[in-house]
Amino acid sequence: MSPPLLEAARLNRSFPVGGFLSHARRKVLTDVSFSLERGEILALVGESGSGKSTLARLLARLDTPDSGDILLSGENVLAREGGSASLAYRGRVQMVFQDPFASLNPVHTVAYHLERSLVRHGRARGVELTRKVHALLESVGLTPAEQLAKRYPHELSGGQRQRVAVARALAVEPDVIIADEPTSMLDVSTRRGVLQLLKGLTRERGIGILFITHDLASARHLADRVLVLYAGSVVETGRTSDVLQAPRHPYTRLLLSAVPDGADFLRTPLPARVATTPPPPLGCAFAPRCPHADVRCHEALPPFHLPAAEHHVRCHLESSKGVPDDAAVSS
Amino acid sequence: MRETLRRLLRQRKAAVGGTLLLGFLLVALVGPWFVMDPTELMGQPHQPPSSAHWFGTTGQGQDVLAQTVVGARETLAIGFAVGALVTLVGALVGITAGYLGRRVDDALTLTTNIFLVIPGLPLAIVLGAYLPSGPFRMVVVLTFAGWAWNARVFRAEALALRGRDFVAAAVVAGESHARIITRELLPNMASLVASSFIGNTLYAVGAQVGLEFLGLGDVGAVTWGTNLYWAGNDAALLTRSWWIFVPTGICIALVGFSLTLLSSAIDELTNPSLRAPPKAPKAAVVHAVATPAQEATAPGALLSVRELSIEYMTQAGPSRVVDQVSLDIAPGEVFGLAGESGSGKSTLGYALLRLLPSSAAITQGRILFEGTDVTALSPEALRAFRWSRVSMVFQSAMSALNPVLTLGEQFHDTLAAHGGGSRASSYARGRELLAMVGLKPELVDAWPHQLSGGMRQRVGIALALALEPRLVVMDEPTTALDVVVQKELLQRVLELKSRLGFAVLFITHDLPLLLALSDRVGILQAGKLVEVDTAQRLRTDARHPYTRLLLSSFPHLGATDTQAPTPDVLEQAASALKAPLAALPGGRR
Repeated sequence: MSPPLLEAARLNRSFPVGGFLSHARRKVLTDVSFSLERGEILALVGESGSGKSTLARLLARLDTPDSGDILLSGENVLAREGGSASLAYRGRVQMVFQDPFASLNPVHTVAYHLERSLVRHGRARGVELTRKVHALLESVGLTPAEQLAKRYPHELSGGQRQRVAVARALAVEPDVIIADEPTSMLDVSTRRGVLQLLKGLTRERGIGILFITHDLASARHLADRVLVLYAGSVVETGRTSDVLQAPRHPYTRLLLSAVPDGADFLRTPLPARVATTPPPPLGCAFAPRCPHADVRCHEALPPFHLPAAEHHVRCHLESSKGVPDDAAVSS
Repeated sequence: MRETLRRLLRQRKAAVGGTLLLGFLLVALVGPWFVMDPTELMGQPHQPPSSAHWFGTTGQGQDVLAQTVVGARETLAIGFAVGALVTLVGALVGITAGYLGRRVDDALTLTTNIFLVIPGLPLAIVLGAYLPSGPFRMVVVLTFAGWAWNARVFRAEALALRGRDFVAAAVVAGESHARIITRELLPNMASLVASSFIGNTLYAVGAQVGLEFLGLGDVGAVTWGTNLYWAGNDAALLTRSWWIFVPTGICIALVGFSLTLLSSAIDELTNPSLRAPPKAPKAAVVHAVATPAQEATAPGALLSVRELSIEYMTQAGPSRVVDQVSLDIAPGEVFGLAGESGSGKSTLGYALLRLLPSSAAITQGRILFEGTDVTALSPEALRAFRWSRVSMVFQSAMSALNPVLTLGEQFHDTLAAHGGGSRASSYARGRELLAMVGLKPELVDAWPHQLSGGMRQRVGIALALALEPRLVVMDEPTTALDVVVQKELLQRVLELKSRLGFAVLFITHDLPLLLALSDRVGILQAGKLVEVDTAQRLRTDARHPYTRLLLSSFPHLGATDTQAPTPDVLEQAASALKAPLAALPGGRR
């Protein structure tokens, strides 16, 4: 079996808190592992503060983890390259940012943004450059390309800007695109178009997409697999249909119950207690809010359980259901 | 770029300053060929202005006009050269420090700070003693003494820009540090570069004249500073030969004046809040339609909006943001207002409390609240009306709460402004209200920054309910919140509503949320209310195509829905409609 396209292994990241000379650190990511295959969309869902964007920055190599490995086609890139990413890595892993109003430089034209990526990675030069820029714009549905290439970001709508951002990522012909909430800043009528565009890329070009979102409904439509993050840890992962239709972790169930969908979503109570204390250092991070939490949950970190094929749940309640523990998965 | 230049020239300050400076540059460039030799003794010393010597002669007999004109050349040349060099060195050091951060920043900031604490004048004097005399010495000395302050300014700007996504995007694209500094960061600082250059030139001219006046320049050269130095040496003041120093003095003052004007013009251009706001459009029909509007009020309605139009004054003329909107809200009803950015939904909400910015105005129509015409209220009546009858919950709870006051003080402010009692009674009411929205009463002594986003928004709701209003306008109160927090908050709002009986105008772009929350929903597109119906009916048979587009834009969790791609035609039509509104101030996303 060939190694996965992109693999994260036990990534940890913490940030210093407190002032000068303080050694206190806040953990943002704890032992996060996952893999992404060619042509697959993996949705990373979680609330704000769950560490989604930190994980995106680690994989885009805008930041370096405290420990853990990133493997691209089985090759450990952190061990080889250290803190700053090589051009080869940038040529294979690209990122689309959340806010298209901020991710394009206001002083440069659309064409400049695309040309730089093409030139920097040796994908085109000379007369071919203009032709390639136009082809890229057309491939993301921005026509007439000749006119749009000359525009400045402020002359475009939010949806158009996000398409330019996708085109820039595509310019380097990457294998992986990390999309950090690519539609949350867009107007609703333009969101779906951008999502369809991303989905098309996996079908047509075999690009693997890590789709970061807080919107479970978009995740359901776009993703092949879902990874649920809570307080910096993976709590549940599996095929989208399994995780969203038969959620096992109480946090996943809580998230699903809060999606504004259907006439009586406000009438059903939330399956959680109000969090009064921050996540404990020991045990399950969700325990203070979990309606089913018992003594085990406050004392020991639950291992991963495998209720179904490829469906991993990090919850003590799974073991009491008689599902056998799978120790191999937790490594 | 061309547009920026044109706007700059249209400004009066820039025009006056620029013309003045250009005049001096012209004199400095070609003037010396038209005047006498400034160093030759052309006549008697200490002669007042005459036809032979228009500005008189110096204490030794040189022509003052010639000295003033020729002096402009070196003075301005050194001034601009130092201005450019100080800006360049300061910008490079500052941006490098701010962008690279960590060790590089530590080292460069330490160097900058050392230069800042060394007094400039002694440094210049000491340095001047070791360098060969001439204009080059002055340039080196002044650059050396002046760059540090600039580096600090540019470092701060680079720190602010470094966190922006376009820098991260350039890193991901594989750009080098040098290229990011020169092509991504520096062009975004064009206005700072321009105003720093002007400011530095001003510094250079002043410092140069000062040093030369003290005799620390090249006393053999002809500059404005040495002119003054010789005027002092030749006892111009004692002999009352005012003409020797006044022309040079006026020139220095005028150059300083023109540079100050230019720098202030650039500041105003890049910071629109310094400019005078455009005047709001006038009401086209001032209550001429009063009688039919009153008749049209639905019986039993708490709020009736009739044919309301709101216009913003933009640079391209008035722009209609709300276009003849009519709607009614019954007591205790939740009315949802849906629309995309630029649809005018927030503007409409703010108008109900007459909280529009100064560049916007109601140009047509009326707002009737329990029979009172809100659009016609006097300032005092309006103050009493706001918050006690209609209150508001804002999108950003952090900016709606005052960060330097405890929650209790903010409750007291609100209650006292409407004739409330003592501080103690306000705090008691604050505790009661906090408990009502599900927060601990002890939080009355907390500061806003100690609360999470969801808690702050609860405080916002508690404040809005403080005076028991009949209608609460909620402008995207949950947009910045997580779904779980959003649901908790909305369930609390519905529970309070059924207990206290207030009506809600809920504004959001999230149509599925609105359909679950509201009794009736209005769809706003480009300022026009295109459809109003009960939530129930909108869900199943919406009639307007835009409503259907919005509904289909939200993917569902449950049942299998068709994956019909959004027709690009519709998307483009929507963005074309919004285009003229995009430049409006006060857009709340």
